[in-house]
Amino acid sequence: MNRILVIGLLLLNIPVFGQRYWVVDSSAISFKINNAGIMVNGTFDGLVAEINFNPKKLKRSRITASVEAGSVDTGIRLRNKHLCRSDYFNVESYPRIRMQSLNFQKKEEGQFLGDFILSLKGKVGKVSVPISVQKEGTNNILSGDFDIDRRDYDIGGKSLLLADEVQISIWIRAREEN
Amino acid sequence: MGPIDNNSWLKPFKSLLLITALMLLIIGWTFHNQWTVPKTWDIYEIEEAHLPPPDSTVEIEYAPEAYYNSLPEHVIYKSYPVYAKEFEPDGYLDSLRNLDPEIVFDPNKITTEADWIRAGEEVFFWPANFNDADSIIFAQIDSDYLRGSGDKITKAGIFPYARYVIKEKGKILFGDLACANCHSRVTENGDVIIGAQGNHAFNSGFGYFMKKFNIPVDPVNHDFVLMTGTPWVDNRELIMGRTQQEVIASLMACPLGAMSRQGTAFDLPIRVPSLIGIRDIKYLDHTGLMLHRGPADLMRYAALNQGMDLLTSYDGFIPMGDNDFSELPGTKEWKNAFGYDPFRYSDAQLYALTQYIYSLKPPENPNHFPKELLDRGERVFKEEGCVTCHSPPLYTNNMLTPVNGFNPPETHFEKYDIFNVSVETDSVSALYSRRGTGYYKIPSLLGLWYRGPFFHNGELATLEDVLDPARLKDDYVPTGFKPANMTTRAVKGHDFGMELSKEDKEALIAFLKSL
Repeated sequence: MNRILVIGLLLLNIPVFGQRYWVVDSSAISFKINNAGIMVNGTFDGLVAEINFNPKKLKRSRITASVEAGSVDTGIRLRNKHLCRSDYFNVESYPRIRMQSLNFQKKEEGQFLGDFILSLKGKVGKVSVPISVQKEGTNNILSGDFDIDRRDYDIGGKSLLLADEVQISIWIRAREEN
Repeated sequence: MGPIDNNSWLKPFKSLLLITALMLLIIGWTFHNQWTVPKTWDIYEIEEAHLPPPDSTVEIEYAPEAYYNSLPEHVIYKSYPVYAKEFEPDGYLDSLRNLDPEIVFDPNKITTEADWIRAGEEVFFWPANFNDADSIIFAQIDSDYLRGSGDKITKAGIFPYARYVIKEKGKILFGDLACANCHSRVTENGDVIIGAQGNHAFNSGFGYFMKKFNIPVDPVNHDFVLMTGTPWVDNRELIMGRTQQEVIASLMACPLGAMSRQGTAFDLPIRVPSLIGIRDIKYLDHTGLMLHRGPADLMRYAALNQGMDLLTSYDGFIPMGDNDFSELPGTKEWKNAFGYDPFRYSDAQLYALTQYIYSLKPPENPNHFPKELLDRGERVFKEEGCVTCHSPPLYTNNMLTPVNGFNPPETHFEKYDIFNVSVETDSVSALYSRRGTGYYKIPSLLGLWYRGPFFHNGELATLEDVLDPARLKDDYVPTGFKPANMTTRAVKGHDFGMELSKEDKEALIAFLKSL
């Protein structure tokens, strides 16, 4: 199954000519997870993205993005260090967390649903992300929230304290270029 | 019509009989197992439970079973309190001389769980080292000793770290190195908490006697080789080269609540662990040296700690070995200068000991904090991530953390419970000592209010010090253990909660002291 997805991704990644690309100006990739009844907030840095998104040409639109797994920051240094280890993100073997779009559907004006392949710690899964695209002057603001089950990606073990569900938020400001 | 069952009248009774038989079996099995005393010296089980040293090339060889079995067993007699001289009732020692020896541990008289616990208490207080009370200098417990060493006595003037023993009428022995010797804590108001992080002045007490009686340095250094020599560190010359002054200064630098026990790193005392609540703790020793799967493991751990680890070969180095630490001594000859007469505990004694230790309860917590403060403290505890390692209800996740300088081999992840990040505390005890495993266990925070000093080597006197960011700097003066040759020293690692506001720190500490 994973192999089929990877082949699919490769096919989807064929450059699309004549499209306008977005250049990322700033971004915030964050997550939330409940630990012992308290919501822990964290962020990732090092976003590298190729965004080729045209609301009028959704079939030709593509987004690929990745962040540095080792940039994980929860505000506690030693916890960040632990999250980089093999029982969590294993950044030595899997330094980047990747997302690659499969398709988009328009829901309403400025609101879309994108299917993505999430590649995390060597595991590949499909996630559906409600996406909002708004104009801000000459920039586009793209944002989306989605949930994953960390256990599907072998992130941390079974725990009575740490929830399985992780809420992920993506916010990107980008300008369009030819 | 089917065949006629001639026994059909039995049918209603068959189920009843079956259930009765099953119940009898269960009851029999339960009671049988409840009082089945495990075998202590089972080499296979010891090897299964014992974690290996951090250097995987080091070979550990335990004393053979035949050797262990040939060691004579302790006969446990009634023992009596030792008073500081100024508090000793008139004629007390003479009254002891008139007493007949009284054996108090008899496995044949144990029939109930309460019996096992009572018998275990006798084992807990039974010394492993005996000397003539009239002549041994270490029996001179008086106000001068208490001032010089910092040692403590109870309200009644009792010195709870030693016992008088009558094995023979008319002769009083001063006995020490019982379990109670390390695991008794005298509080500020003179009460004793049995099983807590003990606060006997092991190091400074010996330093006091060494200075007062001008004890020569060479035999002491030799005994420190025995205590702390670690073949993969090659520290023997360093130990043997110390002057008397250096040894005394080193001994006096150790705070109450920490000690240089056998197998720890040279010149680096270790915090005395609390035994209260240990039934639920999965690894024994700071370094997680031994898996604790039940009483049998605790029995083996006790046997090792009460002398058998000194008869273990560490890459050929036998701490109490003859011929330059290379050969096991004869079973009737071994005698450690630091104690341990040539006796071992019987399996029944060790089992009773485990039942007593498991029965230990914490004292009533005298701290009463406002609910709002505790709620805030608990929230900080969770927000700061303390809860991940120190998870309720035990306030430990019962896991091991690798220290800086040690990468756990893949096989360890299958065999042990590893929380794979170092909290960057001093790694010497985990890497460069005979008890080293490359890990520290994550300690339980239950009973923090009656514990201290903190950190593995007792460097920090209070919880406030643990949360003080000044301790991370090189110009810090440790409030607990500080090597004798240093004036300042950073106490690094476990740097959680350093940046908390004053109010959050107060709340967190209140919460911790309420556990």
